Amino acid sequence: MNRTLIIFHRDHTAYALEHIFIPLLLLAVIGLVFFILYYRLSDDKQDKTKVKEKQFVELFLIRYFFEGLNTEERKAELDYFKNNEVRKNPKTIKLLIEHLIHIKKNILETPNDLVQEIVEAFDLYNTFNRQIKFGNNYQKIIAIQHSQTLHNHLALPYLKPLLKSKQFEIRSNVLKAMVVASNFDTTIIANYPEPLKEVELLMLAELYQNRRESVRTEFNTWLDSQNENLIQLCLMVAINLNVAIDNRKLQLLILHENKKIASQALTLLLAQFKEDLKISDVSSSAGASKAIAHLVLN
Amino acid sequence: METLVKQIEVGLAIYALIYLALYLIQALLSIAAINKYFLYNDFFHKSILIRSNNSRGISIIAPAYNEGKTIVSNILSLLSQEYPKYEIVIVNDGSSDNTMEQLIEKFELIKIDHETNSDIPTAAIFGYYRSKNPIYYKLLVVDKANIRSKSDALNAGINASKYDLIVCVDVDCILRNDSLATLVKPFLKEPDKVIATGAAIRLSNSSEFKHGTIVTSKYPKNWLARFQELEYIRSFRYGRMALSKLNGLLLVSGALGMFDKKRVIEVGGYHIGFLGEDLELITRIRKHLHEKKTKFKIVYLPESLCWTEGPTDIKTFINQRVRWARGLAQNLYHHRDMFFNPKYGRTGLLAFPYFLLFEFALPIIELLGLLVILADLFFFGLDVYFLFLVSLTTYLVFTTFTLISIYIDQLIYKQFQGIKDMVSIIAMVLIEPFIYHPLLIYSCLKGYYNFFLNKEKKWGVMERTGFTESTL
Repeated sequence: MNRTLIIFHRDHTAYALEHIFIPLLLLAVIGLVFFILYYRLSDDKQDKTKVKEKQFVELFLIRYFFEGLNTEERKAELDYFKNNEVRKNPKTIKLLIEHLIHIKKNILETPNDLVQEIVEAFDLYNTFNRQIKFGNNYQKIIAIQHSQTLHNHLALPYLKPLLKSKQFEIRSNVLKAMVVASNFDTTIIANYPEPLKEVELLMLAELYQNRRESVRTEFNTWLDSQNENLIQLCLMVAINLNVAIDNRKLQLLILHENKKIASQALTLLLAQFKEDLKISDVSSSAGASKAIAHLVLN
Repeated sequence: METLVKQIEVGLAIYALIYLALYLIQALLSIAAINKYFLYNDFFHKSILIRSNNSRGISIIAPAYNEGKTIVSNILSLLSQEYPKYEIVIVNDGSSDNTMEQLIEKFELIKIDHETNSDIPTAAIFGYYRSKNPIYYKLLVVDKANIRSKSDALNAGINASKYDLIVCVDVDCILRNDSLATLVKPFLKEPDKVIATGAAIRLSNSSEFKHGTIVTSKYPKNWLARFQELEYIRSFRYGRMALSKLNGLLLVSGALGMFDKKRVIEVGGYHIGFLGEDLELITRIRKHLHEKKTKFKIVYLPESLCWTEGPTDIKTFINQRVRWARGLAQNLYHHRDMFFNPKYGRTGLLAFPYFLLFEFALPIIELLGLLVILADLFFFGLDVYFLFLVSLTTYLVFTTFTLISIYIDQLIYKQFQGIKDMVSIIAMVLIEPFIYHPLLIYSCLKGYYNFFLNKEKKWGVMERTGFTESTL
């Protein structure tokens, strides 16, 4: 007790508080107040600057993609943008990438050759590859996603080692990017060493469903593969595209030991009988009972 | 006697030092958790979920009691969620106003036969209703008898819900329109482990809304609401995030929380005898899973997904906080067998002791401190200068921590648009310990007093002012 009392001896404590802690804390409070206000003000300024930079990039891309320029005019536009905007502010390149990705994702008729010209002019593939190799985890994920959207075929050697990354978020994005880079070869999925998580399946299903017609022809091969990752992916793509699958195969799958596969197969079956049985909601247990009864009776 | 007082003083000083050290640790853990969240958050875009037919189904369960004035706009707000597969289960908890009539009229409801998917015992159900209008096909209304228990209404909603994930919300809450898509992400990443997710809650007083979603987040104009907003920022940016990082969360707010329905049903749903039903449910699920030796995770997201109206008059505010304090005491007492019990893993060894020693005990310790000062003043001589130094240090430490939490909040979302709001919020930080803190301590002590002396428990009534519709 006495030792404790010595630690809390009033004179010592008072001295420490008065001469060390209180001045330091006072400084911290005043500093933080100014810092928060400064951050708020400078952030507003930065926002205004960002709007201007954004406008430059948007104008450049609109001219480049949508004003029907010929090769020489496009080259002149590119050189001007590179030598003026990018040289003045190298951060513009980040904005350019963001916009390019946005265009690529949202405008279906984006001419790939024009995208490729910009990618080459700014050496974007190498930028992404450097980030994949040396960036922090956040930069890695973003670079992997960009590589996938802009079809960075040069990224494959950098991606492969990351398929073993301990970080799930990196692994799943690498898998997705590799599927695209390999032109949707399902071997990567079939050989994936562990069961795919729901979130990975959702990402992959979206990728494959965009290939609409060509993917339908592969359904039977996927279902026959006995590989659970592929079977689940097949069912999810079919659900997303709302397409029919061979009834007999689905009937077998609703007895599958993997409950997720069984429930997805049931969802597809329900969707197929929806019209015949007038099931308003395929997710309801009443709907499920009706469909199963229909199966048993037939 | 004097020796005893001096010993208590030393004890209080040690407690204060540990408390401050814990605050610092919480701040560091919280920063690490927030940083990690934003580092990896972009790995999976919500848009994939929004577009997919394979997204998990989610049932939003919202009990409504005498919400006639706002129920229609509240439901329209819930219907504006950007998520492909969800339903809204509104439980009319025996309202004595025109809530049910409003619902029937505005949403063209008709009584239906409805199969329940679980059978947690509840009070009598008068009927289930769906809309004739296909626009509202996501809406299901359960009309039930009131037994003065929000838990009972939630249980009726759980029974009626059809999806495996449930979101329990207060019906007056305004959700960000991607709330479901945000809350469900941890469930998709670790489906066998995650049992509940929650997110930051903000005050809606003075913010602007359009078509049921937030347009501009503004710092409340009412002084009491301003202090509450500050408290919410500190609580969500520090405490909850830090506990989430340690997987020690005991509370997913009743205003917004997503749960694995299977786990909720396994423990028999919400306990109807509790005021802090949200805290109790999580405690019971944790206890159950520890007993089953099942690994689990409760995740808190640093995003602000829900806006709720805070009380703006002292009486309502004190009632609310008395209820919360009573709920905390009730829960800790009811599950006292978990304290320092290694059988309950980090819940028994970390979360429960933390809640007891630093959430529950703090108001009592502060009261004790005040009594010691009074004893010194009247009997043993008070060193006023020393007291001033200690008080000033404590004040500065908490002001520093609160300012850091505001900075983190700004880094994440720039929640408040103008510099004027920032100056106001900083001014409130500086005066909070003198005005708001004593109110909180008083409410907590009153709550404990009511609990231990078994005084009547009340929910109290809060007059809703509704939301400011943006003219944008």
